Amino acid sequence: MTPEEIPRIRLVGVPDDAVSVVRGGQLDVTVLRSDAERFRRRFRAWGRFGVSALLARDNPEIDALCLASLERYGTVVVFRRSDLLALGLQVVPTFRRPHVTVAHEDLDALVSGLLACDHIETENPYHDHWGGG
Amino acid sequence: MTDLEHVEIDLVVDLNSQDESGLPWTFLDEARDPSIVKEGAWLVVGEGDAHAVAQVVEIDGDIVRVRPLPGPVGQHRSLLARPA
Repeated sequence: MTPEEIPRIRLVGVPDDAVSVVRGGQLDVTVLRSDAERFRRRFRAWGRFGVSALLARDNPEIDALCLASLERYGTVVVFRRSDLLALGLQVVPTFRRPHVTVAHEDLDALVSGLLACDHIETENPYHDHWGGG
Repeated sequence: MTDLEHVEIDLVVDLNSQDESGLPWTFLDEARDPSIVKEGAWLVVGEGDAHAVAQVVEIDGDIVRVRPLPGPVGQHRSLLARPA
């Protein structure tokens, strides 16, 4: 596999009914900046900073993401996609459904936009549901 | 040990991330000690307060792809070359 400098963007765009964007972990400025810079370094030809997230249509889908993809996170953050777009952030369907990249050409605009955007921070009820030990 | 205790991360990976492989990825220089990052190795990966034991699936130039296991780090400590 050869590293590509542009992320694979799905031919089918974000469905209109995918109203939520879900990301594991609290909104930590250091983590967001680090992730966005790592993305930019990897996909430099695309010219954007980005952070990974997942699309969901409704609460049952958010619940399913918490159980499966986001089980390792004690906290998940849920944005309305329309709120992210209103702040000038892009929500790009990248790689495999339901993955998206929340992107912007400017690192500070991306991070400050994510931090400023209305969101719900919720405990993941499935975190460590296999038990400790 | 549960993940509520301190866990030393071997390789910083955004566990939200994926690339064309469908797996979380990072750069080799995000490793605490790049010499331990080899294909097939079991490492503690993650960032912030999210951690997992993961197997290194592929090293592609300076890019490392991992497959995290479900469950807390302590549950898989026997896979690690050092105590979790």
